[in-house]
Formats: sequence, C-alpha cells, structure tokens
Amino acid sequence: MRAFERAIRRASLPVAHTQGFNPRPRLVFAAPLGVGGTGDNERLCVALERPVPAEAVLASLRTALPPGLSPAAAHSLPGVKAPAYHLIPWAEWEVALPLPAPSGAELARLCADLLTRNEVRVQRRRKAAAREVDIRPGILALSDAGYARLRMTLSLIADRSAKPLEVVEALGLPRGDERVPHPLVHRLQLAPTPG
Amino acid sequence: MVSPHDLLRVRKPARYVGGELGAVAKHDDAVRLRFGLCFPDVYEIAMSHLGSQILYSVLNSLPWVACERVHAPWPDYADLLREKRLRLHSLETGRPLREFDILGFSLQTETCYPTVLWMLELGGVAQEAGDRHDDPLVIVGGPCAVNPEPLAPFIDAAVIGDGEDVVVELCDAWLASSGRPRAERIAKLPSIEGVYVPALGTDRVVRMRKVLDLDAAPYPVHPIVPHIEAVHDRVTLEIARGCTRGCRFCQAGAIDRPARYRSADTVRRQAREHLTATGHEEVSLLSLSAADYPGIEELCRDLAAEHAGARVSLSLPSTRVDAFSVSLAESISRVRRSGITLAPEAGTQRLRDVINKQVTDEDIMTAAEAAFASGFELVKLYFMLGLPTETDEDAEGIAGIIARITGLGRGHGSRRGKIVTASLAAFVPKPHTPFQWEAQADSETFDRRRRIVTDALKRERRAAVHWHDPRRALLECALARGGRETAEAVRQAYLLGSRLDGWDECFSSDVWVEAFRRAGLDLGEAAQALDPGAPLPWDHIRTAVSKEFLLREAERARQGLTTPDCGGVRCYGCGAGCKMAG
Repeated sequence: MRAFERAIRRASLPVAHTQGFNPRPRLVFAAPLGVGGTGDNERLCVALERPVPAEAVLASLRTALPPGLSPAAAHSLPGVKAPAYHLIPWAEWEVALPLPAPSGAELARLCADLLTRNEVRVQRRRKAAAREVDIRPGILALSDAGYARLRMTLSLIADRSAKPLEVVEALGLPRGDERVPHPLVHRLQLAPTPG
Repeated sequence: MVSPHDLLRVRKPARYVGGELGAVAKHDDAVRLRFGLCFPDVYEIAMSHLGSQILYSVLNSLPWVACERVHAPWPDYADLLREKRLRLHSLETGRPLREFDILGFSLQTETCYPTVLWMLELGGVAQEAGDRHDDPLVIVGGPCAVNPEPLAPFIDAAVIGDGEDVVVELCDAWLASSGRPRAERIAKLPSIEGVYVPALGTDRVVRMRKVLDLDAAPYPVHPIVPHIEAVHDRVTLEIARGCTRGCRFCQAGAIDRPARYRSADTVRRQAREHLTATGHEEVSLLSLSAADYPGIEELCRDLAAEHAGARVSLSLPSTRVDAFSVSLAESISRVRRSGITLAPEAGTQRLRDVINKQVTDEDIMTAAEAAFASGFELVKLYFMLGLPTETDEDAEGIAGIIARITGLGRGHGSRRGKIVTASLAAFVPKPHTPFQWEAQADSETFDRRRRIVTDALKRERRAAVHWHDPRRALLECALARGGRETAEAVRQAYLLGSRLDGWDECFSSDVWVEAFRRAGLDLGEAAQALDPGAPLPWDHIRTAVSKEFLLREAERARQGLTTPDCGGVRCYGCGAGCKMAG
C-alpha cells in the first residue's frame, strides 16, 4: 500500500485525501493480497481531485513505481464515488507448493476427491478469534497444474468465500509456518468488477 | 539463496528481499573494491539511519566501488541461514560478508557490540583481528567509536568523526596497497587522519574528522526507499551538525564543535529533490538543537508553505525549550499535528544549572503553552534520572512539570487520550564529556526516583511515563567507559548468546553480569566515579574539546555554575579552536 502511496506522490498525481486528523490518499485495492502474495492482474482505484486522462496517469505511474510493480492499463470512472470491488465474485489462483511435493497424479486425485465432498470445514482466523467455516461452496474450480502447482478458482463473495491456503490445508497439504516452507500464492486474475 | 517458500517462514520477510527504489547493485567490471556497509540491528532500524544512507551514496557514486548493505538478521532468519548452510550476506547481490574487501560497522549504541561479533561469525569472517588473513578489513565508525577499546581485539581500524571523506580515503588506500602483506597494509592506515588502528597501540593520538562545509557535503540524491518503515514515510534532512550549548551530559554536543549549519537554500533544494525522488509524506529536520538554527522559523515556514499543497508535513524531532515559540509551532506541520518534543532533562532549576541545561520552568511552560495554542495535542518530554547531585526533590520536580503541562493541555480542551508522554532515561556518563568521571546511580536509586514520579502521577490518566530497565543503562556505562579489558566481557556475552540487545525482548541483564564475571570484571564497579587525575582508556582519541575544558566544566557543575553558549561568537576556551571575533 505504502509503495503505491509514495509512487502516486512521486508521480505528482492530484490524489484526493480522506478527511480528518490524518488525511490518507484515497486508494482502494480490490481484494488485497496477503504478505508474500503476487498477482498478474491486480486492480487499484485512485480518487483524483480533478480529472486526469487515463493514459497520463498510466504513464506517470509507470515511471514512478518501483521495480516489480508495473501498471498494465488505466481507465477513468467519472462520477463514480467508489468502485464496487467488494462485489467482485471470484478470483483465479495458482499455488506453487514447496518441494518435495506430491506427484501430479496424486495432486489430481486429491483435488478430484475434495470436489466430491459436500462440505469442507476449516478454521478461519479473523483478528484474535477463530471460527469454523465451510469453504466448499467457495471452491468453483480446482485442479493440478503441473510442476507442483495447483490452479483454483475461488469465490470472493462474503459468507461463501474460500482462500487459497485454506484449500491447500483442506487437501491435507502443509500451509507453512515458522518451521515449514510455505506455498507461494499467485493470483492470475480477478473477475470483472460489477458495474 | 533463501527461496521465497522459506522466506515466508520468518517475521517480516520484507527485511531480506532488497530491490528497493534507490538501491544500487553493481555487477560491472569497473568495480575494483566491494564495501559492506554493516548495521548491527535489523532492517527497519538500519534504514532509519541517515548516516548510512549518506555513506552508501558517497561510496556508490564512485564507479570503482560497490557499496552494499548488510543488516543484522532477526534470529529466525539467522536460524534459516544456518539450516540452509548459507552465510550472512548483503541485500543487493546476496554476497556473503566474507567476500567483501572492507566491512564497515556503524556503532550507534554500545549494546550492539556482541551483535557485531555475531554478524562476523554468521558472515564467515574471523572475529579476532589477529586471525584474519584473506578476510575483509573490518572497521567501525559512528558515535561509539570515540571509545572503541571494548571492540579493540575484533576490529582492524576505527574511524573517528564524520565518515564521508575518510571512508573514500580508506577505500583508496586499501585498494592501493593490494598485494602487500595484511599487517603492512593495516599499519599504513593511521596516516589517514581520524583512523585508529588498535593493533598499533594507544600511544599515537587520533584526531576526530569533521566535515565543516555542510553545503558542499555529499547528500544522497536518490535515497533508498525502504520496504518497511517506522511510522510515517519520511525524508530526513540534516540542517546542522554540532552544538555549542554545552549541556554537560551530552556527548554528541561535546565532541562535535563548532556548530555548523546547512544553508536554508540547500535545505530547501534537498527537500525538493528528496520528495520528488521518494514520494515521502514528511520532512524531518535533523540536528542536535533545531531551534538554534539561524532562521529556523523562516525555514520551517517556507518548507511548510512550499509542500503543504502536496500534503507533506514537517517535523522537528527535538527542539530546545527556550527557543520554542508560538510562531515556530505554527510553522511546523499545518498538515498533520502529532506531537512536539521538549527535553527539560531535569526537574528543578538547581539541577538544570548543574547539567548546564539553561532552561527555566517558565521557558518550559511557555513552550508547552505555545504548542497547545497552535493545535498540538501531544507533548513528549525527555527527562533523565540519576544525574550528578540529584535528590528526591528533583524527581518530584519532574512529576510537577508533567502534571502542570498536562493541566495546560486539558485547559486547551485536548480531546486526545494522552496529553503528555514522558520518558525517563537513566543518566550514563559518557567519554569526552564533563561528566565522564561521574558515578552512575544504581538501579535501586533509579527505581526509587522513578516511583516518586509515577506515584505522584498515579491518578493522572492523561499523562504516560515510560522508562527502560536501568540495568541496561549500567551495561551502557560499562561499555562506554570500558578499556580494552572490557573486550573479553563483550566476547563472553556473545558466547552466552547476547544478540540485538537494543531490543527489550533480547536483552538479558543476567547474561551480561555473568559475561563480566567470566572476564574477571565486576559490572557494578563500572558505575563508580573515576579519578580525574588518572588516565582514561580514550585519552588517545581527541575530539573537539580539551580535557582541561572538561575538568573545568566538571568543577563548575559541582558548584552549580552555568557556562553560557558560546554561540560561535564568545569563546570559553573549549579547545575546538574556532576562529572567533570575541
């Protein structure tokens, strides 16, 4: 988040700010990635104080962003107060498992088995409390993608959502902690924003 | 290298990835010397250090030098390195410490000494200077280098004073002597002014280096923009070096004279360049006493006006109470008003006179009033406990000041939770100051006086009082005033597992007590007063002021007499040798 805030300042874009004691630039990310997550097609909405042509925003951000963050496209949403990012229905992910990982055939079998289940219960931690949720309705597609990778399409709709590492855990694979290597979570695309 | 799968196992993996805007990785053939800039603390602490950014920029501006950063890992990353059989390495190219030509450690605090040893071990470099053959040249710099004796067996050289010029001269000399036997190469280094080689003994006097013209002094045009930051993304501009107020406890002010200032034009230009290059949202003006800068109000006003439109705020990390005024308060930060910091240091006028901090109770209240009236909602206060001649009455004075300022803030209708946060630091006698011979108050005394303050403020919910374990201050005292025999205690502490002692969760007083015992020393004895007639372990290091001046000031302190600020105009014979009219 901070990297984008700084880039926007470096690019001298007339970004609008929040009110109050500590005004922050009005930037919203669609379904922000967690620590270590990467994405091919992420989405960011910047509120500007006055209209600036989308191509100009794209060009100045391209120069201002640090290595590793490159904007692909920009378009204006005139008259829109806030984008409906919370309504984006799904995301497609690729998860790279640490080696040694099960074979492709084994992963394919695990995925197929999971999809036959009616219920997949996992512990979801929010703030301090944890509660059990059923993520099966949130798993829209799941398959082995070769080279110790899984491909999955997961719902983002509240109360029917699923997260990549929850799926990994549900498959009986390690999701990583201080002692165990972590899978790498990569988002291939987000569904189009409604409206 | 550590794979991303494993990097996610540690806390704050962003500490170890590099690739920041402004980072410089040189792979080309023009590079003839590789310099590892080592900071003995973790990434986010290291990246807040302005001096390192300056040295990084100075060295990398030379086509024949590649300067790369090495920071202390958090223990979880160190464990990971060990698990993968990897050495501690630089951020830019992943080069192990062992493969650098020169390693320069910045010593900001004495408690970092075992961390230096730890980094050397993790990096595959021999810890004893005498055991090094093909190893890099290991040097230290920074404030603690004015007494480097506790690290003497482990370092090849120390740089005393401002590093910008010396570090280039050192690289030059080291490169020029390539191919010669190591001992011969090192023995030549003291010909560079400001360089001390412990192996050659303490007979030779080493004079501190000083950069006098701050306008001409190098400054990073493209500072590194860190991945992890403290609170706000901030540009730090050094507006002055040195201070002539002569507070008797202060090492930074005592060793660095005369005071010299960067011109307002240069400061404004650097602010502009830095904000463009980084996109930070705050400009912080750094100096020992910002309000002593000539024209500080105008500078603040100009900076605030120029950058307010971009919502960039301005802050002065520390300021002198007596020079703080309503107009200065108003010129700071029209955008984000967090808090201002005042440092009365002592609770009574009597004690303030002893320490030569020439600030009255009225000055303090006026400054606080000015702050509240300008819309500041938080006042941060710095005090010390354990100052020479201190009594319980002085602690009561501290409580009184905190209570009165809190009342002032309440009167202005402050809506914040805390109106005042006060920090109580234990006094540590430091080398090269008038108080260098003083005893340090013991933990019981510190705790008792601290309780006087906190008991008096028990019912005051809008004021918070903070303090650290006073046993850490005892350690600082022992290391700051230690001679070469203290090095064994440093080694023992390292062997007993001391790392990153600047962090409360890592520091263990018991480890250090045992370390000193194993070295045949008594940690408690370090707190005792020193004999002014006896030689000191740092006598061979000459800073700005003379020993005679320090003795005179120590005597005046005992009599409760103040010595005015020379202001660069009226000389009191401190020994800095400035050319003055008066």
